[in-house]
Amino acid sequence: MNDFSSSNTITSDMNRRLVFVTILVVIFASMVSTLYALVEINQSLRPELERKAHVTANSIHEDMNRALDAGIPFEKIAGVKSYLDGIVSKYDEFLYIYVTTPQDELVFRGGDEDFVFDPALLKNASLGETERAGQEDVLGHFSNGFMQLLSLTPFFGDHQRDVLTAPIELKYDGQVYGKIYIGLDGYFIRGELTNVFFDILIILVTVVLVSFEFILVMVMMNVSLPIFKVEEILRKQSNSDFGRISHTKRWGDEINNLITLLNNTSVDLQERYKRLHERVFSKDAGAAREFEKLGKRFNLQGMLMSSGSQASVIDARIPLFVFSFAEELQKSFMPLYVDELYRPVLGLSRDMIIGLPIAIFMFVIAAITPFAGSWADKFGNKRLFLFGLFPAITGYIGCALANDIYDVLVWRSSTAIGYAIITISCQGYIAAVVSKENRAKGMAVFVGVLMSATMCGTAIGGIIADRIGYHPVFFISAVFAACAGLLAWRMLSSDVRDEKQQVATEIGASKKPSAMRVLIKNTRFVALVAFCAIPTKIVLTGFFYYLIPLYLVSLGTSTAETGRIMMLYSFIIIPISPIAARFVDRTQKVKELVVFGSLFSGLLLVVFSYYETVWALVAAVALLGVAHGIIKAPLIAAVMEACEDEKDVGRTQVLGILRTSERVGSVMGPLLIGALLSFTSYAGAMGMLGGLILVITLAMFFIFNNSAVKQTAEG
Amino acid sequence: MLKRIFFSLFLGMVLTLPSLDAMAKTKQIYMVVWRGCEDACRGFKEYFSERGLDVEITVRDANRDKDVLADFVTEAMEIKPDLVVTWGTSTSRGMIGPYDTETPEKFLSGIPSLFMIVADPVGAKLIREYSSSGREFVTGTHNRVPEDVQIRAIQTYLKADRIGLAYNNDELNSVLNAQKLQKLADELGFELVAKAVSVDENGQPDKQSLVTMVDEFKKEKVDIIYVGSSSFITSNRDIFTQAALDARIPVAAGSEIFVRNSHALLAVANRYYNIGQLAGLQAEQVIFKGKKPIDVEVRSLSRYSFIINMDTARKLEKFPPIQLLRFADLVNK
Amino acid sequence: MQLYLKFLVMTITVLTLMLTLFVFMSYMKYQNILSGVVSSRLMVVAGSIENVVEHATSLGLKFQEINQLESMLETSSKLDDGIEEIAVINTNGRILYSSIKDRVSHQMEEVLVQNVSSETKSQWTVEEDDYLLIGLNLKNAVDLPLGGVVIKYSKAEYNVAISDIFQKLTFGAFITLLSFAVLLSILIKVSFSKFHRFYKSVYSELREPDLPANGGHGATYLSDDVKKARENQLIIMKELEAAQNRILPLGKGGSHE
Repeated sequence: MNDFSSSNTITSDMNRRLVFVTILVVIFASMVSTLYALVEINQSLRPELERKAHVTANSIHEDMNRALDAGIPFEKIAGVKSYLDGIVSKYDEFLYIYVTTPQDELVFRGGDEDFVFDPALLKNASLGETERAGQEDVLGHFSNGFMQLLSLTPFFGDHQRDVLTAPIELKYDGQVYGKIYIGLDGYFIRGELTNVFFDILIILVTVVLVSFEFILVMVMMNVSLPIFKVEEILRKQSNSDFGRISHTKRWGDEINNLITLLNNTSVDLQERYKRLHERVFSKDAGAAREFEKLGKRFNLQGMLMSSGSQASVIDARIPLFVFSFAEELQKSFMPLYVDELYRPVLGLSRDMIIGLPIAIFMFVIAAITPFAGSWADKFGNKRLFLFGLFPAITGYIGCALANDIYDVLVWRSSTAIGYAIITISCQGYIAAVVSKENRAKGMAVFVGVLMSATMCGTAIGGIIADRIGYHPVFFISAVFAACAGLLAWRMLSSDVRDEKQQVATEIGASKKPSAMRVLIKNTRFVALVAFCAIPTKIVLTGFFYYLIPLYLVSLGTSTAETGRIMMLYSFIIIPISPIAARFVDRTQKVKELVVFGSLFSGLLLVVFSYYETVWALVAAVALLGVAHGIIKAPLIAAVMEACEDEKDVGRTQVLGILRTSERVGSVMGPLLIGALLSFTSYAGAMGMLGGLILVITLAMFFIFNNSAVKQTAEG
Repeated sequence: MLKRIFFSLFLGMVLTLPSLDAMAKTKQIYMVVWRGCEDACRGFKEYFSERGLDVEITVRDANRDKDVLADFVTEAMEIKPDLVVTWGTSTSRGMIGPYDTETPEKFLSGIPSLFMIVADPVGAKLIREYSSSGREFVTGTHNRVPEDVQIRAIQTYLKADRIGLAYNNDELNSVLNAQKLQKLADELGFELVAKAVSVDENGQPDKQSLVTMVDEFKKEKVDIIYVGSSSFITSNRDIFTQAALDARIPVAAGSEIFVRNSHALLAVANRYYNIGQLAGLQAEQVIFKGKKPIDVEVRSLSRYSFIINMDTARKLEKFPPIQLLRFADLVNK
Repeated sequence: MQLYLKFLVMTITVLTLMLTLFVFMSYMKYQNILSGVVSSRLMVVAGSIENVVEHATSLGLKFQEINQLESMLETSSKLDDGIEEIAVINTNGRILYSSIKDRVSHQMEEVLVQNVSSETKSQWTVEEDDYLLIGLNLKNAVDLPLGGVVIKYSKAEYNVAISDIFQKLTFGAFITLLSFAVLLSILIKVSFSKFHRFYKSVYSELREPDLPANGGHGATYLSDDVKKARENQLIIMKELEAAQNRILPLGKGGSHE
C-alpha cells in the first residue's frame, strides 16, 4: 500500500480517474444519443424525400405529355437521357430515374449508370408503401432504422444505397403508356447528417474541455485542499501544536470527517485543559501559572493558524473560461452581423465600416488596460472582475437589440471595457496567488484558458448563429457572462493583494517617457515591434477576425462551418506555441524563428489567396495557427534580447511597451483590410496583406543583419 | 416672413405646373408599318397597355408602297408626336433616312424616332454602331440572331459535326454570313462544307443549281444544311428544302419563313411579338424616362425562339429533344 | 454528503446539459433540412407552372389569357396536402390565377409584392408563423419582371413531423441520460475506491490508533505523523493527569473521569 505516499499521488490519481471516467461517459453518451438522433432524423426525412420524388416525376410526366401532344411517339422522344441526367444532377437527393413501359420494360434512364436495372426490384418499389405501414413496434422501428443508418456508413459498402420510390403512371388521354421510377440517394441524407455530426463533435470537444476544467477545480477544492488541511493539522499535532480550528462542516464528506476527528482530539484536550485550569486557578493562582506552561507548550488554548493562503490559480480558471467563452461566441459572424446592419458612417467605405466594430473593440481595450491596472490596486481583483461584468453584459444585451451600426459600435465598446477589466483582474489574480518563480506557469494557465475558451466559443457561437440567427447569440453571451460573474463571486478569494503593485505596473504598460525615449532609439527593438509584433496583430484582427468570416461566407459556407474553421487556429496554436517556446529555450535561435514565422505567415497568405476555395482558406487558417504559434514565444525573447543593453529600462517596462504597440496593430488590422477591400476583392486583400508582411519581414531581416554587423564592428 | 412663404409657394407652383402638365398629357406615338399591324406592332402596343402607360398610338400603313412614306414624313412633322416608330428596313430608311443622306429635308428631323424589324441597321446606314446610334434623335431594335447562337441552338437539337452551308456569292450579306461561319467552325468544333449557288450563262444565279447542290451535300455526308441570309435562296426555298427533304437531310435556316412556309426543319429567330415588346421598352425609356434616343442602346433580344416544323421532323424521324419542347414553337403539328 | 456523490451530481449535471444541447441542435438541424426539402419540392411545382407561363407569353399570348393555367394550378395544388394555395400574381401583387377561385383579383401581401417585382431575384422563400411562401419570378421576353408563381404551404403539414421528431429526441436523450447516470454512479464509485482505502486507513489509524497494523488497512504516508500526534496526545493526557494529581488532592478531582 505504498501508493499513499503523498497527498499529491492521491490528488493526481483522483484527477486521472475522474477525468477518464467522465470523458469516457460523455463520449459514449454522445455517441449513443447522436446515433439515435441520426436514425430518427433519417427515418422521418425519407417520406419527405419520396414526396419530392413524386412531385418531380409529375413534372417529367408533363414534359412527356407535351411531347405526345406534339405528335411524337413515346419511344421516339429525343434527348430524354440528357433531360433526366439534368434533373438528377440538379437534385442531390436523386440517384437515377427510370422511365418504363407499363410492363416495367426500360425505355429511358438517366442519372447514375452504375445501378443495374432490375425489373424484379421495381415490383418491390410498388409494394413499398404498404410494407412500410406494417412496421409499427418501437423496437422493430429502431432496429430497422439502425440498419438503414449502418448502410449509410462507409464501412458497410454501397449495398442498398439507392431507395426506389413507388412509381408514377404516365397517362395520355386516359391511357397508361408508361411509368416513372426515381431512385433516392441514401447518401444524400448522410451528407446532411454529417453536418449534425460535426456540430455534435464540436459540442463534445467543448464539453470535454469544460468537464476537464471542472474536475480539476472540484478535486482541488474537495480533495487536495482538505487533505492538505488534514496533513497540516496532523503535522501540527505531531509537532505538539493542538490548536483547534474554528468551525468544521457538520455535513462534511470523508475528508471533512478526518478533519473533524483530528480537531475533536484537540478540542477534547483543550476542553479538559480548560476545566482543569479553571479549577486550579480558583485554588491556587501560582500553581495555575505553572500549569499554563503545559498549555503553552501544546497550544491548548489557541486556534490553529493556517500557514498558506487558500487562494490558487485554479480559482480564476473557470470564471475566466466561462467569460471568454461568452465573448468569443460572436467571433465567427461579427463582420456579417455588421454587414446586415450597415449604414453609411462619416463617408467611410462599406468595407471600412464593417471592420469598425472590431477596430473599436481593440481600441477600447488598448485605452482601458492602463487604467484597469490601477483599479485592481484600489478595488481588489475579485471586485474588479464583478465590476467588469456590468459594461460587458450591458454591451451584449445592447448588441442583441442593436438596430444599426452605431448601436453596435457603442455596445461593443461597452463590452470592450468589461473585457479589458475582467482579463486584467484575472491576470492580476493569477499573478498574485502564484509565487514569483511560478509566475510564467501561472501566465501560461491564463493564456491556455483564454485559448481553449476561444476555440470552443468561436465554434459553438457559429453553430448557434447558424440555427437561430445572430441577435440571440448576444443574449446567450450575456447569460454566460452572468454565469461567469456568479462563479467568480463564489470562487475567487477577495483577500489576495500581495505583489499587486508589480502586476499593476506590468499590465499598466508603464510608459515612463524615459523608457519610451530610450527604446525608440533602439533600432532592433523598433524593428521588432514595427515589423513583427504589429503586423502579426494586423494579420490576426484584420485577416482572421474580419476577412475570414466574410470571405468564407462569400464562398458559400454557413456560420457553423466558419466557426469550425476558425476554431482550427486556436486548436493548432495551443500545442504549437509551447513546442516553439521549448525550441527557443534549447537552441536560442530566436531571431531565426521570428523571421521564419513572419515569412511563413506572409507567404501562406500570398499562396492561398490564389485559390479562391474553402479548402484553401482552411489550410490558410491552420497554417496561420502554426506561424503565429511559432512567433509567439520567440518574439518576446527577441525583444528582451534587443533590450538587454538598455540598463535604464526594466523587463516589465519593455513588455508593457510591446503590449501597447501590439494593441495598436490590433486596431489597425480591420481598418487596413477594410481600406484594401474598398478597391480589391477578398482574395486580393489577402494576397496584398501577405505581400506586405513579406516585404516588412525582409526589411526586418535586413535591419537585424545590419545591426549585427555593426555590433561586431563595434565589439 | 410671410413674403418668403408666399414666394416659396409661388416658386413651388411654377416648378410643379409644367411637370403636372406633362404627366397629365397623353403621349403621342406615330407608328408607320409596312404591311399592316402584325405581331411586332401588336407586341409594341400591348407593352404599353399591360403596364397601363398612357399613350396614344397612331398607326399608318404604307401597304408595301415606298412612295407614300414622304407623305407620312410631312404629316409627322406637322403633328410633332413624342415618338415616331418605323417598322422594317424600307420604312425606316424612308422615314428616318440614312445618316449620310444628302437630302436631310426629305426625312424626319427633330423628332425622336425608333426603328424595329431591321435586320442590319448598320448595313442600312440607319445607325453608326449598336452601342449608340450616333444620331441624336434615333434609336431602335435589331433582330439579327448571332451566328454562334444559331449554331449552338442547332447543336442542341441534333448532331451537327458536319454542317453544309448554302450561300450566294452574289449577295454581300450571304458572303459575310459564310465568312462568320467559317470562323466559328474552329471555335465550336464542327466541319463546314460551304457551297455557293452557281450562276447560269447570263451571270444570274441558277435555280436548278440548288437541287444539284443538295446532291453534293449528300455526297459530302453533311449532318445538316444551314441557310443563312440569302434572298435568292429565300425566294426559292421550296425547291431547295424539298430537295433536302427528299435527300433526308435536315435544313436549318436563319429565318423562320423557311420553317413556317416551307419544309426546313428548324429556325432560330426572334419572334416579332417579342421584338415589338422590346421596342416598347426602348420607347418607354425615351418618352417616359426622359432619355435621349442617342443614349438608348440599339438592342436585340437576348432570348430567341426555336421554330420547328413537326411535319418535317416526322418525315425525317428527327424529333426535337424533350427539353426543347418546353419553349419551342411547333408548326405543322 | 459523501465525496463521490458530489462528483456524481456534477458529472450528471454536465451530462444533462450536454444532452439537452444535442437535442436542441439535432432538432434545429432537422427543421432546417425539412424546410429545405419542402421548399425545393415546391420549387419543382412552381417550376412547371413557370414553364407554361413563359412559353405562352413568349408565343405572344397575353399573361392574362393563358387558359390552361387555371386547371393546371388546381391539379398542382392537389400534389401535396400542405399546399394551401398556388397563385400566379402580377408585379403589383394582384392575383391573376389561383387554385382557390375566389381569390382571383385579390391582393397579395406587401412582402411578396416586393419579392415578385424584384429584378434581381428569381426565386425566394418567406417564412411566416403558419405558412411557408415559395415564389418563382416570371420574366417576359425582354427580361422584365412579369409577376410570379406563389405557393402558400401550411407549416402544420410538416410541424407534425417536427414535433414528432422533438418528442422522439427528448425521449431518447432521457433514456440515454438515465442509463449513463447509472453507469456513472458505478464508475465514479469505482474510481473512488483507492481514495476510500486511503480514507479508511487514516480513519482507523485515528480512531483506533492502538490496534495492530492499523486495523489491517495498511500504512499511509501520514502514519508517522499519526503516531507522533498520538504520542503527543498521550503525553498531554498524562501530564494533565499528573498535574491534576499534583495540584488537586485525590478524591476531589477526576470526578469527571
